[in-house]
Amino acid sequence: MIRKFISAIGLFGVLFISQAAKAADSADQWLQRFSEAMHNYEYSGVLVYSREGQLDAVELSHDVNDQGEQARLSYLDGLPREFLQEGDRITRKISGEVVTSDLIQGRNPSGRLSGGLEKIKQFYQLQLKGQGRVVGRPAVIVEIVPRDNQRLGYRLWLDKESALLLKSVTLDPLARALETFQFTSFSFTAKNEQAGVSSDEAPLSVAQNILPWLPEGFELFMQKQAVMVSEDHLANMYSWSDGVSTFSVFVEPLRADSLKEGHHQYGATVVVIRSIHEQNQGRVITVVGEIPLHTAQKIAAAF
Amino acid sequence: MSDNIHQSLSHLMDNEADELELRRILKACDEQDGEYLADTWHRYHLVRSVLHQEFEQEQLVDIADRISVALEQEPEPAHRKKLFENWRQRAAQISDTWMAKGAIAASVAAAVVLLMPNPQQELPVAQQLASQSAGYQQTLPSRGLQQSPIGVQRVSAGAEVARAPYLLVDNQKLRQERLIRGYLMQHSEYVATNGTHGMMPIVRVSGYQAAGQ
Repeated sequence: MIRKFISAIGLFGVLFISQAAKAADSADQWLQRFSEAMHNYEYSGVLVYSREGQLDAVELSHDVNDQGEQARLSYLDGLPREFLQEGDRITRKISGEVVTSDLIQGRNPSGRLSGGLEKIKQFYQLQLKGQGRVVGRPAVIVEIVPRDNQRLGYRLWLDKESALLLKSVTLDPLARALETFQFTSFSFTAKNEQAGVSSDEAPLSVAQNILPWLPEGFELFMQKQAVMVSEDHLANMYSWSDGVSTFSVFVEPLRADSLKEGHHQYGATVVVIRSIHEQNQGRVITVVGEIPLHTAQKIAAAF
Repeated sequence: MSDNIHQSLSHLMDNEADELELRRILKACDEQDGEYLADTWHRYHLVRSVLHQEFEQEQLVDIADRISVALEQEPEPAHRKKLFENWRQRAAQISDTWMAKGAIAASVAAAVVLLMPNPQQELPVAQQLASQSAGYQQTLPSRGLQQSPIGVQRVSAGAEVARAPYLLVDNQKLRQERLIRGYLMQHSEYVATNGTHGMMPIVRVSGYQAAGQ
């Protein structure tokens, strides 16, 4: 009897300790779990996106099989638009018809935080901001706070059970909300299969000198020649990432119908256009990314 | 320009001018010192367009950031540095005399004169930038009445004709927005397959797409 009692206490103790250990998980561990979960779980739900003056609702589902990640994002309002991800390929459909199909190269391992956590912590502070509730589910709030003013911050609500992202708010360097992603319905199933992506692609070092000025911590992860921007517009595309934030630079010859110089901001995304007039032919530089406007302007200005 | 003509021009801009005033202004423009009047007229239109945000180019090119980057990269001219050093040494030498105040004031004045950049030699950056932005200045309405009959049309031909140039601007704006969407799309597809948020970032662009179409 006493033996039973002791073992019960022991069991209880173990449970208690493991529970406590779980509660004491650090922001690092939550982010690590999150970045893995986002690629390895099957999940679906209705996602709402809002930024100043705009609200969109989409249905989002994600799955993994031996061909890689499979995801589908379809619009619930307006024209029936749809995006399908099959591994590295993204297909756009409007009213069921395929519009374009792009092969996206340059898997960015640090973009998924895995292995790159130490590097990310050089440029961001990771903080646990308590607990919350999203879509009727208990959530842990993790904040990714930039250490300088060259990048944006993120406040994430992670599902306590799966560590999947339930809500995300993008913050500017003054911690003002620029945009919000939030699930309004959500379900998931754990998967045994791992996403078939293990190729740890190192940053490309070749074209690092394309940018005369680069904000600290960003590395070139993708370059692609002659990307089709519109039906008759080709540009060379380069993408940089610091593991959390990403920006792309498009370089192309100046034409009469090129974009006019200036800047635009849509939620967290900025677009800075600059045309350079050289002796024979001009160039147009377009910086697009989730970075502060002044950073994008400085990148464009340095050309 | 006489006050009368000025007043007529003002009426014209407010769409309150009668036939007589319009003729008077057109005549005055053709006269010997009419250049000045035409310029004023042109400026009024320019100001109004900017105030009503009728320009396709919302912000006239801001080159401040570019200049600051260029200055950052440009090494300080050596001789200017030397000059400053000399001046500081001499200032230190005389500063303990009773004349210190006067001498420093004088040398500050001298330094200001000497340090004033010589635009022909010292500012390749500014020149370069100026020549670059020449392209954008061309997109502004051209000067003078002869080249720019829009002002006249607007007054005499009524609303229908007046709207035509703005329609053109709207089309251009639409085309530009469509093109911007192309860049956003490419960027977001990359972020969606390589970022932390899965497919979520794609929503950013599509929302924009809905607004454009």
